[in-house]
Amino acid sequence: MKKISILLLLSLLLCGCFALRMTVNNVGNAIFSSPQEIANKIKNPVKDSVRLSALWIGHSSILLQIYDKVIILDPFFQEKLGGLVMREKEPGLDIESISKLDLILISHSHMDHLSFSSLDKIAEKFPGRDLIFPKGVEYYLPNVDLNLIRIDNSKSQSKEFIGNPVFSNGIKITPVFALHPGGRYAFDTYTWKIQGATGYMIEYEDVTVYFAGDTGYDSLAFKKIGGNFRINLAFIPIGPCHNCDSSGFWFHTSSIEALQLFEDLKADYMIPIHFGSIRYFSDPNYPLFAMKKILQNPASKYSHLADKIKILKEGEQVIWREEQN
Amino acid sequence: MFINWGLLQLVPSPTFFQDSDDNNARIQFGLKWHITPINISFNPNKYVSPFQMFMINPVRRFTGSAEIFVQPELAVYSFKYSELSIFGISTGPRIILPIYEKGENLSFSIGGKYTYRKNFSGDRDYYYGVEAGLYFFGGLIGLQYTHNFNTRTKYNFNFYIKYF
Repeated sequence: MKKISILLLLSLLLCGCFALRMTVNNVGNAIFSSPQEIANKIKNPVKDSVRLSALWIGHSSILLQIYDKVIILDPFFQEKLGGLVMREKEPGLDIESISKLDLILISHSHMDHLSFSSLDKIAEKFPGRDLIFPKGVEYYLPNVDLNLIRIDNSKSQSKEFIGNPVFSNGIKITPVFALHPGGRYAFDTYTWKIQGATGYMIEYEDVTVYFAGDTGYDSLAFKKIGGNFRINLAFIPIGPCHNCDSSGFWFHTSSIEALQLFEDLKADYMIPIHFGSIRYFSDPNYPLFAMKKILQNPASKYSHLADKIKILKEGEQVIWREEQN
Repeated sequence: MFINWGLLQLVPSPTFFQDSDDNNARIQFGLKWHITPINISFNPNKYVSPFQMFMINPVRRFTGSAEIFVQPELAVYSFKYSELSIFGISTGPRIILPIYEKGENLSFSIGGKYTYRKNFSGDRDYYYGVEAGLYFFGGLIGLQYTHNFNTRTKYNFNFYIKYF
């Protein structure tokens, strides 16, 4: 009993130190620092004659164009996460620069994926656009001037899950497995037990794009997804991870798990996301360094994937033209 | 779910009460708990109800809502100057309005309050007041100030902690 008490006390102290250190650092940064500026932001991200393009806004936010359709994924344009955590780099795109938008997708309700002010700004510029989100997110979604569409992903954590698709402006959106909790304010994951995290398969014309949102790795589920869809481009989160050569932290994929996930999907290309902007507990670029190291190691079983992985900087856009079919 | 939520409702908010008579005054430390029997959201999305009871979703609350609250209060030591009992209970209506990030990062409230306590003689004693609050991080934490229309305990100030 005494040992347990000491262990409990030590755990509490350690947790307290970690939480305190993070809080003090983050509050300090939020008050005294500002995000690194992104030079030469793209002013006209929506282009003609595009088969597929992706502009990495930062963290998990992407502006995706498939032919004439423009989709924004997990828009997060805030400077501070939850008012306390200053992002390391500013968003790589200004909402004002987006000339056309057909659809907004939200993968789950965590603060780095569902940003109220970002949705407000989008709704101001593109009122009435479709906003698709998984069941459970409605509890964390304020009323915005967008057409809210809830999709049923109540079995999204079942390894076989490929949900019923919905259509928006001719774009087919299918919810797929994601290993990630719902909620928004840490403990509510456990107190309210509201689920609401999903991956998305986005299909339009002959293009299929996979957006993982946030997910942990599962050795069966992603093989199943890869077996059901012919994926051209996959957005896969890397990190946060304490040791990115092993497993990710709390329902996230580490760098090596993300590579395995990509291999399971058998997609043509991967763009890594969910790093670089938010400091969780170490350098936010650490998952990227770790991934590059794995890819550059000739002895690694993932080294052959190097050419298929497009590593973007915040604000950078990759374009596949129509003639590149 | 209800057990977890119920246990979290037991977390008290530290409170400072004024305790005074005609000649003396001091600050008295105590605790306060927050119960919300009903909350009506002004602008919920189409998938959720504006009406909530007890388990109050934070987003519907801080984006703009009106609620009835009940606050049991407990002072740590006796109110020796104002001669009121250490246990009291307040109730009243308040409205919550967003300030920043739709209220998630900063919201405020104003409300009216009725407080009931017994005095040292065991008789019923009550007073009215007005209260105002500022809330941060989804309304999980905040600061509240109450001005009572009662000369013996004219004000109280508390940190607001409520896990929804």
